Amino acid sequence: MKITSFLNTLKLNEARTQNVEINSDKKESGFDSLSMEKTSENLKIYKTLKDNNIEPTKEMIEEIKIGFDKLNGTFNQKIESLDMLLKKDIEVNVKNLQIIHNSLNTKIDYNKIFEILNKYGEKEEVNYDELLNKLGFSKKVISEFIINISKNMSLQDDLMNIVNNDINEELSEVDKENISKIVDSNENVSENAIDESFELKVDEMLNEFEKNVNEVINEIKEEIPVEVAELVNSNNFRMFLVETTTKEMNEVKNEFDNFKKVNADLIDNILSLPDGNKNIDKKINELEKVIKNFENIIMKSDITLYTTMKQEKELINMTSKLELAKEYLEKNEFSEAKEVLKEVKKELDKIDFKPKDIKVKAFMKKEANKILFGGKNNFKDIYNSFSKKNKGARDILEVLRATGVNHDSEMAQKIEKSDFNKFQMNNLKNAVLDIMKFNEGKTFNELKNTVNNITGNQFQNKLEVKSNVQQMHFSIPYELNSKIKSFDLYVNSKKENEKMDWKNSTLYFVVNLKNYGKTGIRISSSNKVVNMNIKNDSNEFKNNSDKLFNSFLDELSDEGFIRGKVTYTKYLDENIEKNIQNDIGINKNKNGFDVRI
Amino acid sequence: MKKYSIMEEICEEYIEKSNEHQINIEKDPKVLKNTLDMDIRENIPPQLVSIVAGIVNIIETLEKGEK
Repeated sequence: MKITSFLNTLKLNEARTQNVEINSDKKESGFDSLSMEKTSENLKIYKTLKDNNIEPTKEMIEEIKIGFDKLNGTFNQKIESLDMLLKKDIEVNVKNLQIIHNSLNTKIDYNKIFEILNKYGEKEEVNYDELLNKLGFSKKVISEFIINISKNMSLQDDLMNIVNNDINEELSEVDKENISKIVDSNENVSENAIDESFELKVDEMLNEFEKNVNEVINEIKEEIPVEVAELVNSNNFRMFLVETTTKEMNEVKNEFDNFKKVNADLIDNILSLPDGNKNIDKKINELEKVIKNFENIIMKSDITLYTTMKQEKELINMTSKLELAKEYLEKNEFSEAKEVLKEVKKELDKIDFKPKDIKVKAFMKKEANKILFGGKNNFKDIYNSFSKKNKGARDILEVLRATGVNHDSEMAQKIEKSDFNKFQMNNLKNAVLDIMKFNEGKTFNELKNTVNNITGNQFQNKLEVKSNVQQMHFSIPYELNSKIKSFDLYVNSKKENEKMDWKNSTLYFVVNLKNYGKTGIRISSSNKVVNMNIKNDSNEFKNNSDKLFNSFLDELSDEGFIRGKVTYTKYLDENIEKNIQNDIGINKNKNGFDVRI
Repeated sequence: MKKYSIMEEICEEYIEKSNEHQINIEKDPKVLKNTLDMDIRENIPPQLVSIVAGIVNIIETLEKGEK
């Protein structure tokens, strides 16, 4: 295909020019030199290329137009797709144009996709042999069970016989002893880090988890076939859940204790280094390690999957304080830095890992789902992450991961580590790619469009390595009346060492609210000062939302931000999403970063 | 003959390994190379994600008709 072959070899980067001055006179004379018809389409493509520091040729413009012919939508939408590819430094070819164009102009129909995934899940048969084995039923029981199945005896009666012996029994002393052994063996791993007075004693854990098990079993029973429901009532199943949960919580507890110890030691080291310019680099390097450890514990470890929102906020606040200490060090303000570090150390000493009940239950449900359906119903976990209420930072991160936007990056990291055993990548991209293999026709095309849409979203969030600013766009799903809705989030942020700068960022949410209509929420953080501008045309909106937005702004000061103010304006009936670059108030410029509030 | 950049060659290796172990990853190196470098766990600080969480909770509250 001519367009593909040409554009694949088209080295747009090489055609990029430095500091191209664009003014109407020069632009026109430049265009005139191409000897092309001066149509509005040709001029727009020419300008888009120029705006992205590419010196257009007649051939380029012609080929891009051929690529545009393969896209649906208006010419301006196609120009926006081209512009996005160029801004993200992505090769302009037909495939990439289609991917980005699709994701910019269509929304994923989450409900439709879950419907397809659900149908696929229903087709999966339970592997009873494997399941009973995993649950620790004796070989004798399993063989009798398999023989009965082969004799076409009632599956339900058979399972009833198996489970009747120990149904609804509390855990025996032997079971509790076994679980204690698991706990002990894990504690040995990091003996030094164990705090004797730690609140979560084994007995407490067991009692707590047993209560959760009963609730989880009742919830699961409503969602599964009747014969499996009988099985989950068995003591073996209860034992499996308690054991698995105890092991996980104990590992997380140890991880948290280690984290506390390692970072308290690192902070002590920094504090013990003599003040003065000689040690400044060493202090900053050590402090950067601590900051990284805190960020990892919040964003990557299992710990924040289970902590309360209060604890999560405390960890975020400590991270912000550590960054403040770093700022002091960079300005040679040693005593101020010391004060902040001492404060963080004190707070770190005080904080203990406390799993939140609802999060422990979510873990149990996930494990139950895994053992009952062998991971084939993983999409339920994706749905659960979207539908969860009262989300914290880690929950939102998990929502974003569940949309699939991080899939390839995480997969590549696993491949790098030859980590092929833990391939439970629970996200929509993975789930859809899985079931595409078993579908064809219209359903296959719908699934393929969804994957392309997610890939297009990944394109939109590509790291802008050559720039001091990062732009991103996410579609964030949430549940309303048992349906998944979504809204758009645009982010524009200053960037340092590939990390976005929370102190200088703008976030713009665009949502169509059931009761109030289109709403734009702009949040600008400039040197940590956060201001909000809310755009909405409904008369009641301000009265009904003002308290919520102001409380939110108050709470942000618990995480290192400085409170600004909330203002309200009309949501003009225009496509503000398209004007986001102007609206969010951050612009790249030659001299660095410019924030307008 | 295919002309691949270094990044595309790395992506080719990822794709080969993913096929070997039957795991899902983008199968076109020219696409894959553009979906790898952003890891939201690394590149976005928790403070920003926390702002998003706060707004999501407000949106859900308003959707439910609560004040």
